[in-house]
Amino acid sequence: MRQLGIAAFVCAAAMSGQPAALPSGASLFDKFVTVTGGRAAYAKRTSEVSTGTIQMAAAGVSGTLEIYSAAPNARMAMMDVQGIGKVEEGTNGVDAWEVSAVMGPKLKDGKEKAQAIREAMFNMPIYWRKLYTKVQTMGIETVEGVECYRVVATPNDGSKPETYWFEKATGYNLKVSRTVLAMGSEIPAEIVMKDYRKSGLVMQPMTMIQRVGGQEVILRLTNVVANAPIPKSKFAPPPDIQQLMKKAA
Amino acid sequence: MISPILISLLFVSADMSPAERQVQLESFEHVWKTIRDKHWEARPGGLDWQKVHDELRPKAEQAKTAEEMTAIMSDMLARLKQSHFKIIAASAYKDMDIEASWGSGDAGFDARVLGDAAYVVRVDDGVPVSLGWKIRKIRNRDLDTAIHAVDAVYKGTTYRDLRMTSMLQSRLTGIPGSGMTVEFEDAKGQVFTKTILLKQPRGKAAAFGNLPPVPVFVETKKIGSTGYIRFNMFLDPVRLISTIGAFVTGECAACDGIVIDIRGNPGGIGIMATAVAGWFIDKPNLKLGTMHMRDSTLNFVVNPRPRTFAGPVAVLIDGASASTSEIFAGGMQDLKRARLFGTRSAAAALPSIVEVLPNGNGFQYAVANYISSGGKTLEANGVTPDEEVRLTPATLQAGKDAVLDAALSWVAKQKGKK
Repeated sequence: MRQLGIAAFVCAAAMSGQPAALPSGASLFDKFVTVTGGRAAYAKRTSEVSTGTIQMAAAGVSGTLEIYSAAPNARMAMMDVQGIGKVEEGTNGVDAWEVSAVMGPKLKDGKEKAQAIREAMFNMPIYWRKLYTKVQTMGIETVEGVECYRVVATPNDGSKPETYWFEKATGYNLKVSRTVLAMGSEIPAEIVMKDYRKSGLVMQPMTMIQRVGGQEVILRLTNVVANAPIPKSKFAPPPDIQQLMKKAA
Repeated sequence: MISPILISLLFVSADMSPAERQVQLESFEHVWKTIRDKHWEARPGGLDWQKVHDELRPKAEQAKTAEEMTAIMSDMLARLKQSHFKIIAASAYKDMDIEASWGSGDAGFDARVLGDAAYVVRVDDGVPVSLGWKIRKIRNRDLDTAIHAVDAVYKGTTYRDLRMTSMLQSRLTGIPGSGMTVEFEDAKGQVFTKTILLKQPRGKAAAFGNLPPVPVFVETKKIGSTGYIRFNMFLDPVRLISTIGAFVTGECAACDGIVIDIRGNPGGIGIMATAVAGWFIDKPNLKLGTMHMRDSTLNFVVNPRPRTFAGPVAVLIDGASASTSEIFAGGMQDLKRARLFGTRSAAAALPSIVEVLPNGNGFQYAVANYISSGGKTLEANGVTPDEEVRLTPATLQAGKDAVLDAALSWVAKQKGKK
């Protein structure tokens, strides 16, 4: 019931006070689910393993990337970057952490932890109504030379609004602008998504260009496997994090 | 007959072809636009940046050689009057096989300019050189001339020690295995020449992104019951951070204190300052400082390790401690987790990245200002030690490292206070 209520509120909010020519924010989020495979295809996905590369071209830094995800909200991203070693970011849906060869282990707390768990929500596109209290189409803008609808989404956890750009012609989400919480800082970030392909039962962007702090980081997925068996231990806090958890308890 | 040397001279001095000129102009524009778009100030260095472009672009179009173009780009960056903006010669990137290309054989001793002359300030075991010897000539070249040349530009600035040390380091090196003649003067005024055999560079080659590879070493040892850590750069994080961690939580876990010697350390990867601090700080969410970019800020938050060293920490700095060294030392001081000994740091602490330009040169540019957790801008101010201790020829000639001695003495007193 509560979900229905939120959904009704979102629809009402999206319908009101905007030019008639613009589609509602809700319809654009729903269209995105449809064009990337449909609700049924998403529902069949219970886990995913992605591999790829990470590149900070301007600084000449590159590395490899492995991401393990599982329903409802477990995620482990492992990067191995030239010159700075391994970085692991994980959550089991209860705790969230980061272990870096440079920075050491960090047990996330507060808003940073909440954001990590929220972002780990598996099949996030079909649950957008759980994440946002309001989605509103603000206008039409060009992203990377492509006309897009600009939609501002208000998170239900009180965090700052996020902006989505959905391609007018296809419905694909080409860009997101949001605030990243890391190192006790709020950092504005833009993610441009390109090269949508069917991978792991649904269409996904195989290239993501993250622009943070004036720098550009390019993530390229080379392989995506849906429903690959992932042992639970993959999402278990590593020993250093367990020690920090004991210390904090 | 034209010798290979002359051919190479002709090559580097030759006029540029239209295609080469185009590449150089692209590099010029890239440098200018990068500063315009990424400098943390909308008016970089308080300058009308468009005006800088309009003045220098015609000169760039008239440049006849790559060297002239590099000089014009360097002139552009120099106008910012800030550290961490420079053009790195393409030759630094040639032959990334570091063992063959270093030409950075280790003389086995360190030198600093104290006053207006250079002195030996640290000597490796087995090297036939003594502390406090004055260095008069290196490879028959008078050092006074070089010191005066640096002073002509940097005298009275915070960068003087850093530039003097850099000048000395570039002269006290060469091909490993070769000999280097050095004219010394001892405490009695006797002048003599020694041939120093240059050893293989100490440590391991480490590269990060577009930075040319450099040798990185980390030294850990116990001096009595105090731990001593020295490393020459904040690079090669996996090896350096784990070595420090193993030492302070293992062999030296019960030490009376730790001395971290970053004198002469010019910095490296900025975030490594927090990584080293994580072995000494056990409270979460403390920060060494904040990096301020044009559209955002990033806190240098320390992640405490599961096991940390809880005893007293002394950090040794000097005028050649720069960048990440200053972020580390300044932050540890502001958090009252370390007492600093030595002399003021270089005041060159802007987070930067290095790109490779279309013409093959490296281009280092700062993307942020950095403010320590105590609220002080490190650029142009530096870090002031809690106890200023200067090396002098007299104390060196007595075989003493006065800065280290002061730190050891302080650590010993802390034990008494427990």
